[in-house]
Parts: sequence; structure tokens; C-alpha cells
Amino acid sequence: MSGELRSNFHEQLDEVRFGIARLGAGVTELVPRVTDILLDGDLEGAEYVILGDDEYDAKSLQLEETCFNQIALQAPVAGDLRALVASIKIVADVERSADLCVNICKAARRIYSHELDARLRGIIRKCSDQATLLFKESTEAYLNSDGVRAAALHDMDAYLDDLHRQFIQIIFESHAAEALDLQVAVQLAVVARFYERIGDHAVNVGERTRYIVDGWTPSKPYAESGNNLDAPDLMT
Amino acid sequence: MSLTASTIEPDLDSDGGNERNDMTSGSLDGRPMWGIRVVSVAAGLAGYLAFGAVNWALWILVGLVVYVVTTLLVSRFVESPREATDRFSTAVMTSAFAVVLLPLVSVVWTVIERGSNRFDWDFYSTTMRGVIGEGGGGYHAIIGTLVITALTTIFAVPFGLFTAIYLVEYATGSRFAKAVTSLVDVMTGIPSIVAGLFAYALFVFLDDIPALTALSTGVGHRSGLAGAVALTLLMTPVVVRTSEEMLRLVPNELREASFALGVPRWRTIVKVVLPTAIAGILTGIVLAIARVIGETAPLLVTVGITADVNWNPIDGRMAALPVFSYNSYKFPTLPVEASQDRAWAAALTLVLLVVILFSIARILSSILKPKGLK
Amino acid sequence: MNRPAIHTTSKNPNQMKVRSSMTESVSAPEKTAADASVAADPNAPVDLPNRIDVTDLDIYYGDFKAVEGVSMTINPNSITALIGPSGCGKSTFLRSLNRMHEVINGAYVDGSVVINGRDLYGSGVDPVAVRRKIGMVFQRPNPFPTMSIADNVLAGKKLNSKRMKGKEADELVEASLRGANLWNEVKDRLDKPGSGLSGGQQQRLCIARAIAVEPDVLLMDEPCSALDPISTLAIEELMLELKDTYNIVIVTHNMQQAARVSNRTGFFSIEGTGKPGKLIEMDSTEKMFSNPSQQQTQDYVTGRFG
Repeated sequence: MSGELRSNFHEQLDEVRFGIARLGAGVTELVPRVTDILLDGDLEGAEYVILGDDEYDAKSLQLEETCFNQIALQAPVAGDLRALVASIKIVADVERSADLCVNICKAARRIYSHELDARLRGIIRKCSDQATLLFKESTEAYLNSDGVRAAALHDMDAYLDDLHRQFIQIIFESHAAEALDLQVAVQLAVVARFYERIGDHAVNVGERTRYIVDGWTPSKPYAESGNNLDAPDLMT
Repeated sequence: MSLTASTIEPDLDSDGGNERNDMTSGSLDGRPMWGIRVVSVAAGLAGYLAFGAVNWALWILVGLVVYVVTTLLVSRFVESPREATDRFSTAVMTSAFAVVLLPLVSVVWTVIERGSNRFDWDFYSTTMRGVIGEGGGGYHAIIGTLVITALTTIFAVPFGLFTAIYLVEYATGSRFAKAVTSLVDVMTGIPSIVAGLFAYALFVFLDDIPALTALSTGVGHRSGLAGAVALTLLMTPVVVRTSEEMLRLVPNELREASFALGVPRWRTIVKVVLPTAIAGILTGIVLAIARVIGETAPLLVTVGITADVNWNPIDGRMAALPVFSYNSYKFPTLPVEASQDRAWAAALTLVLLVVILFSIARILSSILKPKGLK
Repeated sequence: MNRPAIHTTSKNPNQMKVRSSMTESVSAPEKTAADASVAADPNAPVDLPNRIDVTDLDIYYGDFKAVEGVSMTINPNSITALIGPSGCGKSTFLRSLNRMHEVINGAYVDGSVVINGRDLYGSGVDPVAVRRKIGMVFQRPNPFPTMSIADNVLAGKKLNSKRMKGKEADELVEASLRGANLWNEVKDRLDKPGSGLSGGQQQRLCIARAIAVEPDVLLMDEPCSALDPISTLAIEELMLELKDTYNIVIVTHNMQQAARVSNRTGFFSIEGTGKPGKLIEMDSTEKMFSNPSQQQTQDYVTGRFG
């Protein structure tokens, strides 16, 4: 048999892949932007982002539908089936990450007019950069079906978790030193959580990408992720 | 033609007055066609009645020609050229069929007409013993034909059927099988006189071997057995070919199903393949019998003719219907009509025998035919 | 394992199926042909009656090597599916399991097929006897047209001239037809010819005919190819019931069917026309259809090559 078989199906698969990659790229741009909004107190920007989330939701839904239809119509097996099933979950992770960015904007609104000291600004920037890097890596790993790159996300996330712990520590210290309002402290703690969650979603995307590539599944997720179960995790 | 959107749809009246276009035309079906047929028959009949001196068959032919030509011309005018060609072809083929029927009907009619002169119990119950002139019958010839044909069948069917089974079931596709099949094909074309001479020579040869004198025939090496041998040579190839075809028609999946049940090959053949093919095989055998029952030349050489009944195939001459008919016609006694009547009656008997055989074959075929075979 | 899948009306429910116990144990061979990845079933115990062990089987038609170097283990009470593109030798291989390929002159094999401690191709083994123990159902339903439905079911016995008393014969007919899920549809017309049945019913009749001789193994060569979708599903339901009693091996072109019914799947392929077919991969069906080890298998099941 010469010529490609099931070309229509493969086009659909590519469409899904590119669509999700675009969404992921969007989130990758969104994270530093909402960090700027947070640090600069940009109310207008926050409004813009919050309203723009509808578009993300609509696109996610559409991609999910495409995946479902392809499963219904094309009876995929093996690699194709893994790709479609995993893509549905990845869409959820990406969409949730976009929601988390919106949440950061809402927090920005709540702490409006409150000054943040240099130390806090620094750690916030660090968390943001690391979360951005994680998401960028995961999106590219997914787009290129690169299992090796996806596997590297694990360690990057460990670093973000560390930053998260530092962030919480700084908040405690600032509040104890009366430099930080309780209200603001609580909001910032939540924001810290948001960054850390974005990183976790990126790791999820990476794990699912590895599943697409060769059917890899995490057998002992907690032991392998390096999560230290003793760390104070105020928000669970 | 307007240039509006209606040009997209087929415009059936666009010819502007000429009613004939691609979709509709006049039609010759029904009454006009019957009219043409009647005209043709009338033409033939008129010719016969007026110039009847020539054979009636010729006038039938004339009628057919009139039919064909008329159909073509009228159809071309009333219907379209394509229809005309169609009707012309149909007419030609129908005529050809009628032409073929003519001699067949003629023969049957003639045999019945002339044979019925002696179609009486007398003919079927008396022999020619001591008869010269009127009277007499063909009883001895009928017995002879039945005996010889029965013997022939007893020889030819096992040989032919087993050969066919070997070719299809055991050696299929091999070069040997192909060679045998070709040889059998050649044998179907053996002239019957050759078979007769061969059988005669064989028995002359056998007579010289003292141990086989039991097979020796009495007077001049002639016997019913020799006739049977000659006819066997003619019948066997036909049996082989038709049985082979019938066995090949049995779908291979039936054999496979039987093998898969752990049934050995010979049992498969006997209990699955043969029962499935039996209807066709029987018909083939009857066809073969019909082929040999009327052979005259080999019987002339090997069996001769007698005037009396002879039930014993190894004891000298017997009478057989074809030879009896030939003899009565060729060497008539006075009055000539009596002999000729006997000849025609023998011929009629032969025809009737074949008809009976075929009927038996049809009945057996419909009884035995497996309902499931497509 | 004593529960018979054939329902009988006789008093002794175990009468219909008497298992022969193994006389010697044969360990499951782990060796694989050069390029094939054949994963042994980790859950199957080593000692099993009616397990088929194929070792390095080459199948020849005259000079032409049709299948090369196949080794696999086929476990009983399960359905094993063989898939692959056209001409890859899977049907040839299936037929070699009950020596049906020998019906074609000049066919022979090199290698061994061992069942219950006996090599089917050992010296002195009668192919006809092999086929009584390993039954086969074909692609197009082929009931014998000269026989009634009841006679068709009994054909395996009758054609071998086994005498059966009337009552015994009736019980066998009913048990086999029940086993093939056909009894209710034909019980009123057992003496009518089999040709009046629909395609799906005819195929079930062929299955009843095959199980009436009480084989150990049932081979099916694309049994549903000639049937409509509903009949296909009916046969698949039947297969799932029958696997409790028989070792079933099917060849199918329909991958969804292999995915639906089989426990293990083997993928055959061929490098090019004129080359012998080979077993590329054999594993549990879940693995074959969710994450096969060989790229060729992945390409075939996802439809990236014919």
C-alpha cells in the first residue's frame, strides 16, 4: 500500500496537539504577565485577564470535544488512543493553570494599594519565573512528544516547591515583624500556593506526555516526586 | 432558450416542436408488434398456399425473413435507431431458434408418423423368427438392446466414475491428471466404427487363447459381449468427462469441512462429495447411455443380427434395435412396406427409450438433488 | 474446570466432557524466534491440559517457505487471536495446528507442535486422528447440503461410521446445538436441510458440528468475515462462552474483534511478497492494543500500514 492511510485522522490528531500547545503557550505568557499585574497593582490589566479567561475555557472545551469525537469515530488503539485520552487530561491541566492565573489577578485586586517590600517582590518574581519555565518546558515536551524533556520537569518542580517553602517563610517573618498586614499575608500565601500549583500542573502535563510517548505511568507518585510530606503545607 | 435559472434544469421541450428527443419515443410494444408477426405469418402462409410446390419449410423461412426485415424498418421509423437495433437482434435470434427447431420437429414428427404404423402390441411381442413379409416384430431387438446396453453400463460406469474420482480427488492439478484428461477428451471423439473394429479384433485375439475360450463366441466371433465392449469404449469417456465436471462443481469447502472433522479422504468422497454431485453424475450417465444406445456401426461389426431372441451375451449373435432397423430397411423382404414399417417402428422405439431414460434421469435428479446446493 | 459449557439433558452432567489428564508435564517454552517478542503469560500455570506449544515452526508449500520460525504458547480456556495483513501466513499457521494444510499436495512443516505431551508432527501420528481432536470452523459457513440439520451436527460421528443409538444421538444433537446457541431457533426443524438458515445460523451450525466430536481445541479461520454485524456479535458471544471448555484460536482481519474477544493476540507480518511470514509480537490483548512493544505492531494496529 502506498500513500498515507487514515490521513484525515492524523490531521485531526495534529490539530488537537497544536491546539493544546497553543493553549499551553498562552499560559506560558500569562504567568509573567499576571506577576507584573500583581507587583505593579495593575487593576486594568487584572480586569482584562479575568475577562479573557472565557476564551480559554471555550477553546479547552472545543479541544476536549474534538478528542472525544475522534475516539468515538475512529476507534483508535495503542499510541493514538493514549494520545487522545492523555490529551483530554492535559487540556484540563492547562485550563486549570489559566484559572490559577486568573486567581492571581483577583488576589492582586485584593492587595491593591498595599506596598510589598523588596524581599517579597524578589521571591514572587523567582516563583513566577520558575513556574513559567516549567510550563514552557512541559508545553514544548508535549508538542514534540519528547519524553526525555518531560522527565526533566520533575527536578524543576522540586526547586519550585523549595521556593514555595521560602515564600511562606518570608511571609511569616514579615508578618511577625509587623511589616505585613494579616489580610495581605493571607492573600500572598494563597498566591504562593497558586504558583506552586501551576508548577504541579506542568508536571502533570509532562507525566502524561511520557505516557503518550511510551505508555509510562508513575507507579509510586509520591515517593518519586520527591515531595517532602513533612513540609508545612498550610493550604491543603 | 431562455437565459434564466431554468436553463439549469433539463428543458424537455427545447427542440421547438420536434417531439422526438432522447427521453421519449414511440413504442412498438404490444399490438403493433403482434401486427408485424401476423403479417409475417400471413406472408409465409400465402406463399405456401400459392406456390406450395416447394417444401413448407422454405415458406417458414420466408416468413421469418419478412419478420426480421419488417421489424427493423418499422421500429426504426416509429421508435429510435437504438431500439431498432435492439429489436432487430431479438428478431434475428428468435428466427435462428425457430430455424433450429424446424429439423427437430420434423424428425420427431416423421418418426412418430411412420413408426405408428406398427406401434402395436404385436410388434413388441413377436420376433422375426420364421417371418417373411408381413407381421413379425422387434421383441428380440429390444431384448438385445437392453442386454447390451445394460452390460455396457455395468462396465462403463465404474471405470468412468472411478477415473473421474481419481482425477478430481486424488491427482488434481498434477501433470499426469492433465494428460489423462486430454486423452479422455480425444477418446470422446473416437469414431464408433473404430470402437467396433477394435472390439472385434480383441475377441478374435482372445479366441486364440485356449484358456479364454469360454469368452469365445460361437459363430464368427460375434457376441453381445463384444458389442458391449465396443460401446463401453464409446461410453466411458463421456462418463469420465461429465462426472469430472460434476465433481469439480462440488465446492471445496465441503471437503474441507469433512477433513476438519477428522474424516478420511475416501469416506469424504463416498459420503459427502458423491451424494452432493450424484444428481449431475446420474444425468451424465444417462446422457452417455443415450449416446451409445443408438450406435449402429460397432454393433454391425461385433453383434450382427439374428431373427430370434438371444438372452445370452456370450453366445453368438444378438439383435439390437439400430441394427434391426438398418437391416429391415436395407434388406427388405416382400412386401417392402412391411419391412420399412418395422424399421420405422424400431426407430420409434429407440426414440421412446431415450425419452424414458431422460425422464428417469430428471426424476432421479430432482429427488436426489441436495436442497442446499446453490 | 469441570463445569461443562454444553448443557445436556442427560442425568450425568459430566458425561459430555471427559477430560484426559496429562501423562507428562511439558514446561512452557520461553524461547523466542530471532526477531519476535513473545511474552509468556505470567498468570498461566505451567501444567495445563490442551495447552499448545509451538516450537520453531516452518511451513513449506513445496519449495516455497510460507511461514518461518514461529514459536508460541497457546493456553487453554482462553481465546488467542492471530492478526496481520493479507498473505502474512496466519491462516497457513492456523491450519498447520490441525494439519489441515497437508490437504494441499506438497505441504510439509519443520518444527514441532506439542499438545498434551504429544508432537502432532511426530513420526507415526495420523493426521486424521489429529483433526478429530482439533476442530476447525471456516470463513464461509459450509453445512453439508445433502444432510438435515440434525445429520449435520452428527456428521463428525456418522461420517466415521460410529454407531449411535437414537436417544444418544438426539442428546448429542441437542447438547451441541445448545452449546452453539442455536437450539432454540432450530429445535422445530431438525430434519430440514441446513440451507434454510441464515448466514449466522449456518455458521453456528458449523460450530455445533465441530463441537459435537468433542475436540480439545477449536480453530476458527475468520469465522465472521462472511456475516453481518449482528451475527458477528452473536458468534463472538458464543466464543466467549465456549472458551470455558475449549482452547480457541481465531484468525481475524477485524482488529476490533480481536480486541473484543481475545485474551492474547499474536501479530504476524511479512517483509514483502515472496518472503515467509513471521510472528512479530505476541502478548496479552490489552498490551497489544494499548502499548505494543514492536513498532511494526503499533503501525499495524493503528492503521498506519495495511
